[in-house]
Amino acid sequence: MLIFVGVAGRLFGGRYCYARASPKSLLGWLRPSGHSPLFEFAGFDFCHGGATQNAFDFPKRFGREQAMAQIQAESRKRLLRLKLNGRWREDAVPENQLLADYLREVTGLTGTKIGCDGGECGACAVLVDSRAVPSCLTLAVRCEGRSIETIEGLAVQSRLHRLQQAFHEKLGTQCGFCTPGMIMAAEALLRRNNRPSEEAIRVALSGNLCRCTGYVKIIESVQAAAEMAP
Amino acid sequence: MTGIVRQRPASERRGVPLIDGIEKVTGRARYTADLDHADALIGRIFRSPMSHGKIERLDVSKARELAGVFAVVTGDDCPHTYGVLPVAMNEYPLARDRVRYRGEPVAAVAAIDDATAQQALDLIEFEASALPAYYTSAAARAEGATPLHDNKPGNLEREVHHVFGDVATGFDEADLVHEHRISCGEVNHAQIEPHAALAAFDLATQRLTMQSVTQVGYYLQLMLGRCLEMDLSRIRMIKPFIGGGFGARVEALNFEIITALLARAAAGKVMMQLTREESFLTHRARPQTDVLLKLGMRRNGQITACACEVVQRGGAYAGYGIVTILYAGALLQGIYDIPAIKFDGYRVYANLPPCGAMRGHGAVDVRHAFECVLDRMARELGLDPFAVRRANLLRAPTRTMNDLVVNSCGLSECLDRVEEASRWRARIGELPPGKGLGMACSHYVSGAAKPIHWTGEPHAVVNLKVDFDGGITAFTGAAEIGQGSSTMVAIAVSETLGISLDRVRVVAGDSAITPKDNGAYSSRITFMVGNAAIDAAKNLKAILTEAAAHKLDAKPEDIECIGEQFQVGNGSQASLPFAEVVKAALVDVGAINVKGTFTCPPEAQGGKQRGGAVGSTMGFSYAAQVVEVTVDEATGSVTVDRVWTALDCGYAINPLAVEGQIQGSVWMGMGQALSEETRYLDGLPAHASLLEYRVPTIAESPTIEVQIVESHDPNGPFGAKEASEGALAGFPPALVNAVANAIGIDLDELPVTPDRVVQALIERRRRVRAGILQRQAS
Repeated sequence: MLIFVGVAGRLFGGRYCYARASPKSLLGWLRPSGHSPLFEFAGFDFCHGGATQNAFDFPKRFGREQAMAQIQAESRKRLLRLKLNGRWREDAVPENQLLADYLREVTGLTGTKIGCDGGECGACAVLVDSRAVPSCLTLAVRCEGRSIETIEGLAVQSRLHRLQQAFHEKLGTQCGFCTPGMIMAAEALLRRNNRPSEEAIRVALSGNLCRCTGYVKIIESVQAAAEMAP
Repeated sequence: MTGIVRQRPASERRGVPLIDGIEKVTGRARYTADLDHADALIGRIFRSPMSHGKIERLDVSKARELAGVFAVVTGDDCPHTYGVLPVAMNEYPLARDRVRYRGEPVAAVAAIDDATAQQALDLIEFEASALPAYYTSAAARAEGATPLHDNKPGNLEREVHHVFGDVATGFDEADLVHEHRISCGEVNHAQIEPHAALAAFDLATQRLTMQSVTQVGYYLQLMLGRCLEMDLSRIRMIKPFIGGGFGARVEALNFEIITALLARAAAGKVMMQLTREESFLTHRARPQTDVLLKLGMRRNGQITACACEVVQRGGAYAGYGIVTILYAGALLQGIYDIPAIKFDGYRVYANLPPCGAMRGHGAVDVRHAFECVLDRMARELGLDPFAVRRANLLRAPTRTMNDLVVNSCGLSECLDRVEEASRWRARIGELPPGKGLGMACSHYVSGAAKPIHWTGEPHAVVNLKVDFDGGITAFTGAAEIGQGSSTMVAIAVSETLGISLDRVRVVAGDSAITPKDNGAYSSRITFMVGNAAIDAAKNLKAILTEAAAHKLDAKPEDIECIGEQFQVGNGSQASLPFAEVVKAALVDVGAINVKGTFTCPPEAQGGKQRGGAVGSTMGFSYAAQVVEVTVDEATGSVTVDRVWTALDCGYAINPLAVEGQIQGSVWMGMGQALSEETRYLDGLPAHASLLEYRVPTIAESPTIEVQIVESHDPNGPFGAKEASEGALAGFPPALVNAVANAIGIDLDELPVTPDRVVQALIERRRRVRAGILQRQAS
């Protein structure tokens, strides 16, 4: 029996045709109609990544001209002005660019990590106006006029921030891949609660996955940092 | 070999933070995806949409024509297989003729940007005729099943049959014989860094530079040479920071070879970043395993015989499969003194992503079954779980029946420590309803004593350089992947030389600079690379001592370096600071380079039986743990309240890191025990994201109390053995035993998800009701 599996093998919803079926690619298809499901999280809008069915409305096959038009449409840019680690800056940013990609690709700050296909692991957490936000679910243009802080902004030159000091000394970091997100989420916690209980730490960091430590030394690190003077 | 033996126990030493920790906490650490790739092409993979099929047509011409596409590669571009064992390399980087699992790479593109690469994938036309697909071991082994690989009828990758001792007599002598079928779900490493590779090919020099997430740069280099038909000297492997491994990266992986193929085809630089879903598809983790275990026991708890049948659903290709099934049998031994053991192992091919090595490689699921059955038998005999383990302890030094050497064993002390810490004797049987305590033991190798490729070279080589500035640089191929191996090397060097730690720099994992190392697997680095580092430091020390002796006008044997001071005798007579001794040593010769090596002697390399090398090691780590749980009978949810673990790591070179490794491995065992499972729906991965694949979060993770036991192995570096795998296998059985203690139900399946617990409770109620009705009727 001969099965024609179709262009790019979309047999099961095209899962494998989009090598990167993350919000980054999906948002391209959603824009510019603006019907992407936005929702409020901790008082901050970010773009939800689970818009899968929309992705497959995208024409299954199109010619080169259409393809190029699509690329051009995607690259429509907007001037973005924001404060990054204490410095104001302006960039022309594609409207569909995610904050994580803006930070990593445009500003070159690769401390913010991407560990999943969107909002699963917390490695990309950064502070937006002092709140921890998953930058892989946040459109960069949504940060207009806001203050963004990343792991690179915590230390003053080579003087470590107290959380960095504690994570280093208490071995809150092993492979270190989840560490930037973990520290930023912990920093958001310490800013609103300087003496958090263990329970509060567990709640605040429950969106950040670590695969190395079993979290025991992460909790100890945050507790130790809370003991230090900010 | 042991270097300087220090007497202070681990509890009195803090240990040191990782020497690369500052880079990690500041975000300066560059992982593969963080490397400069502004000028790189973007690589993407077209994957098989079907589980099993014969490729009828693969047309990539339209993709090739697309503007912005620089290279498209297919199976035609690589006629060579790759894999682990030379006898079992049956996988092509890109499928040729047949696809054997959903998600198998079929073609790949390198394009100017993400969007173009994705469009190119859309233009690839693929036709295939379906073949029957098998998703369970039973279906794949069934009569008449189509073989996945033509040379493997019955879809058996490897059958293992080992008998040691007189099994029949052993069972005859037993007062109690139990047989249980226990199955464990397939799990994944789920390291937080998704797979990535950056390959650069230079047309003019015909050289390839590969930077990748690998734990085994050396093996990857070998496979790149094989698949690309390149002279190995033209390939440079550089290991950036690695975001965890746990075995996911202990073999060359398809995407790494594909990236190199693309880079060469495009004559440029290609960045390949896999999605989380693709990282799950690449897999190579612990297989779904069915264990049928029969134990015979005397009334006093002594085991008289063991018969164990293991079936592993290995996925579509060999990978580490043969090693995994051999480990499953070999590591039935080396922990308890059992007079007769029969092992039958079956490694089965199925149309699913290939399995491989994962923390506790091969040992975990069998240990789980073993420790569960021990507890059930102890209960029936009215024995305490601790007493049953103590009745069967192995006494070091000894050789097991399958010729594994055991030179040190601290399991007895581990048992004492967790029994006391958990207040077991006071609390067992006294807990309120719904709460339970369980315990189990486990062990693991400190490096495979026989390397995968026989080269006759030492197992580990470390180079040291000292120059005019007095700084010491250690060069090692050992892959630092977060476990702290570079820190271990720095400590080994500084302690041996008697200098401060920050005088030592470690350069790790660059084939152009560092000596070859087999890599980070089977917990080999501390034992092997640690010993090589000590050997190198001793060689350097001899040179420096000679120079110091000359300057101080004393005999070299009277000189000791303590606290960076070379001194004669106790230091009251004369001394020289380290920097001055280095200057003196450089006169006439200039920069000093020394080498240290380590080789496992042949007598440690396992028995003569087929596959006997697997499981052989210079030293086993031993662990015992107690787990306390709360079971909610209404919802079936199991909460782990607290864990007490003790691990015999020989000697804790860095107690802080040892503690971190033990906590991490215990916790990873908890994930496997409670929530982690990679399930497939007709071969389609249903759990290929970190939302569906349930890695425990910080909210449900308990306090893990760690006790370090130091048995001072005679051959370990400073007496050390491994510390990062041994404790994992003990958690799942300790948890299942604790659940049995809490609700009186023995669960036969992992993970212990709420639905399985609820199902077991419902069945018990049904049985009780049926029993009442039967009694009423009679």
